[in-house]
Amino acid sequence: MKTPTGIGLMYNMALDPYFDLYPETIDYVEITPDILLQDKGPGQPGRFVQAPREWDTVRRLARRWPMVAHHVGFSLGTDGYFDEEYLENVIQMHREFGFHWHSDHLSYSKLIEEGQPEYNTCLALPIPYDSESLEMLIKKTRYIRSRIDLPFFIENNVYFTEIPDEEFTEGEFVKALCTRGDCGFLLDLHNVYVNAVNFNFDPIAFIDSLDLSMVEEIHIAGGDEIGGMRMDSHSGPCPEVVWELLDYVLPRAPRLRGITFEVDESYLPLIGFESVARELQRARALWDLHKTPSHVA
Amino acid sequence: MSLKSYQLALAAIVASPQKGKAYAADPALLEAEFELTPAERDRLLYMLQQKGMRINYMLYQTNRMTPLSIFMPYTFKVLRPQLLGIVQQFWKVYPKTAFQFKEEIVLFSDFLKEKIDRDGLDAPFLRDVIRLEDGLNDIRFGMQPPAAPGIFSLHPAVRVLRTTVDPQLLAEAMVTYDHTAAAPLIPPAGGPFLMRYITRLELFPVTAALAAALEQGNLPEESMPQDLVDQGLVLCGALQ
Repeated sequence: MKTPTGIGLMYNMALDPYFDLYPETIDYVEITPDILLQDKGPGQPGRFVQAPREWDTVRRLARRWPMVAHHVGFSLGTDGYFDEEYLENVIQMHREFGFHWHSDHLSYSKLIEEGQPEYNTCLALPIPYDSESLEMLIKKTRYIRSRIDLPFFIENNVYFTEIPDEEFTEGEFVKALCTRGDCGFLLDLHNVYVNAVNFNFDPIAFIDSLDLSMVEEIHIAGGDEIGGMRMDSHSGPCPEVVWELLDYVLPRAPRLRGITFEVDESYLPLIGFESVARELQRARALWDLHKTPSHVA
Repeated sequence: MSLKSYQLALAAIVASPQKGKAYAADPALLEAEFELTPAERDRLLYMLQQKGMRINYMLYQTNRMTPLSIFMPYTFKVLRPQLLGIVQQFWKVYPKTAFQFKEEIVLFSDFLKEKIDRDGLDAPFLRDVIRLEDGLNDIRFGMQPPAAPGIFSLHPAVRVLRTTVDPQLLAEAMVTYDHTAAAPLIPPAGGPFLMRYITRLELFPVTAALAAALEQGNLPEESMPQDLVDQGLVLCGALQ
């Protein structure tokens, strides 16, 4: 299939009927393979097992739409760790689905101590924006790019505690990583909004500190508030500020390929498919307003 | 080593509010446990003072509990009034969790069974719902049924289930179970069952002798009830 540009939807099982109800709202489908796989653990024969029902659905979707992959399992930020078997599985999935790009997060979620099996941090933890982290990430993204001839993007993270006295700003760090690490930038605007609310900074000033020519995908989503802090819960429609940010970023991001809406399956019964369709239609209206020949080439 | 050590320290903190509190009160403990540069130590101590650390604690606990609540929903229902305390005891014994849900679920189930036997942990139908969910999870995660060297073996989606109360009625009662209401009256099981889980739970009563023989693989060919083979509950070795 032709490399997609336009509007995408992050797949989850509760969305299954949506694809027949509102097919015209979608240009591509993004999947997080990790949540559709049973991982038997490093070194286990046939380690990654596809749940038959879910993957039958993914295969049906792949016949109708271009697919992109959004991973959570590389745990790129973990120092001293790279999961070769995980990469091999990504390569195998790419052979089957022909992903148009793939991505993972600027954080870490797995750790390993000598002589012990890897373990799960249970939440994505932030990495310090320092030279040591940067050099470690550059090696990994360059290696991934060398193994799969496919664009690879790295996504800005949400965080709930600030790390003081970092060597680089987030903008400087991401730019250096994308330039030297041969990867693109997946800009999650809801994450920007969440961080801006929780740490009281101007999201537009933050956006201005980024090199938007690196942005190749945008994530949009909604969230809620817990314990006096904004959460990245993907709980429904995007807040107005996220739409304002999207409107601001689109004319400034010439390499953008797609805008992907994310919604958590547990919230779908509350918000309904119509609400998802409205978000995608609103994203499309902004995309149509700002898209240029460079976007759709 | 330093960045790795910093990452281990942050992960240890978010996994344990008690540890976080102890490190904040006495930074020497943090330095003794992890090989940190002064900047890394100061960063962690600064992060410990932020209100967002409470969100990190909450997210860790929610995310660690989620697979248990998905794969052991009935156990969670019957344990509800004492659940948080039990889960926290479990985390104390097993401070680290794997990425693979199966391992965490098996560990938690074994932990509960040990608490029942050793500490007298009690809740309505607790031992029975653990057995039921053990069987379902065993099938879901594709673990092999007990080895049967004989001619017959259980289908991979079938297990022997032994409960004190009728498992069919137990499963139905658990859908609407409310720990604040009186526990429902469920008649005794009357013997073991074969449970099959493919797209839904199915239960088939069998005799105790047949269940034991199927598990041990020592059932003579002439003793195998043909209806179990016909229903696909038991596979004949010669046909595999």
